[in-house]
Amino acid sequence: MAKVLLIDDDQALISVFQTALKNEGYQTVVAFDGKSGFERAKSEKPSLILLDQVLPDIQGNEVLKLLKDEPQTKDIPVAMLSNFGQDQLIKGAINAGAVDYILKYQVEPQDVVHKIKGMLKDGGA
Amino acid sequence: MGIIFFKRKKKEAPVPPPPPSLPAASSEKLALASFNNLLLGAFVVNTQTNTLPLLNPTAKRMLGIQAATPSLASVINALPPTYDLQKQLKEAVASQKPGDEKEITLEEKTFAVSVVPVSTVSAAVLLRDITFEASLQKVKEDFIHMMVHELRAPLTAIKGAAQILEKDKSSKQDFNKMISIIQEQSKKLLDQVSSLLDLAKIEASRFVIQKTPSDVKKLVSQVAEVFQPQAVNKSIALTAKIGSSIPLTVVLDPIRIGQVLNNFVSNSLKFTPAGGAITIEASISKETPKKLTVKVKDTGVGIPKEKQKEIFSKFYQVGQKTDDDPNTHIPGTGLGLYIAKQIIEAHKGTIDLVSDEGKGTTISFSIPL
Repeated sequence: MAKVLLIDDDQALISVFQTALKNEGYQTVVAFDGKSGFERAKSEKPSLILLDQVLPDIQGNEVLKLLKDEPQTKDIPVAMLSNFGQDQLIKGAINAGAVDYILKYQVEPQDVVHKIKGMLKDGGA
Repeated sequence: MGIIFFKRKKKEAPVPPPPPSLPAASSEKLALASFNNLLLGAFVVNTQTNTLPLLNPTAKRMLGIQAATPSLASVINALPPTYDLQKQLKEAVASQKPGDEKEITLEEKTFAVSVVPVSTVSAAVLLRDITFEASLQKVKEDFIHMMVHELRAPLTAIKGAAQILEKDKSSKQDFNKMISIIQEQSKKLLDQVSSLLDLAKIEASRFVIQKTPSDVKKLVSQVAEVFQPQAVNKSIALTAKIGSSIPLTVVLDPIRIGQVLNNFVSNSLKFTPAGGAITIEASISKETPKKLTVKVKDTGVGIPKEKQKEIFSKFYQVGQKTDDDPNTHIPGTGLGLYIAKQIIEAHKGTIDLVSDEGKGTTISFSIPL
């Protein structure tokens, strides 16, 4: 059963995505800030990471760089999940190795589940 | 005999004599003095000879030019490489029409540059410092981004929870969780809209509080209770300490003071990592005049020193800059602290913040009894 790590400080939204993923048979782990998200990625070795851009401690793109620089986590596909869609942020995320940049307000939980299925099929763990 | 009509000639005002004309040399001196004393930066370029017949002191200062008689090349070098002065001059002189105003940045200042033809071979270049307007524009854009985010976040959760309920695959526990999310996030959305209305009232000087004898112990306990589930989720210890000398009731606006405490605790929860602690402490000062002081202390990420003095400002948010582009500023916590300050000041009180980056923050207010 594939495991998805959700890194987001919005507890309500995490609950929503966790429930949607669980209903489709995925395991989920969560972290509410960038640093603990990075640590959980190393300890849990998820199949995929959904990473928010605005976190209380460090910005999402910075967490992404940490994940891609770390040998234990560099091959885990990371999709950004954010309400901020400024060009510079999207470009920064894609350049740093994100497989997708999803705008939260444009998608339903089922759309995210569908995208995750596609990402994992394309080469996730 | 016919009637002869005579049209009375209108009496015309006497024409004043022409003013004595200034000698040519004095006219030029006057023009030059006006040019040199302009608040605008200005210089004139002769495009035929590629020379700089006039450059006023304001332009020299704006461009950072030290030389006493600078050349056109030195002016071109002083301008940012993205601004093609020669092209702008050529177009203005050829069309004999002013060019479109362009914006340039020099040494962290922003200028509006316009090129105006003054003859068939020369054009004047005018520089206007718009640094303040540009920063206001940025503040406005940041504010809009922030408000859009603050409104979108709860809406996204509500929409998502509704979709899960619609799919009807969830357990009873998840069903209840989604209903709870819809209720909480709807309230959050309402609170955001209320903040915007509060801001409008503050701007219109129509912000009022309604003081009534209020149970402070109950107020503080209720705030701690409301945020307890979130704190537990994040493995943060949230406790309330109420001093024994607090009277049964204190005259204050309980809804507004509740709003202030909600904002303090909400910010602490947001910026305190898992495993941390938040304490709400209410006490009465020993010195006279007696004051009620309420502190919210956390072991969170803290606030950088350079942002602390601006944190209660209307449009200042503790946000994040990105390494990719320092101009991409992600807004932070929003209007809450600005409105909190207005509430406390309406109570004739003071608000205070002590923070150490990486160690934590204590935010507090004191109001007279």
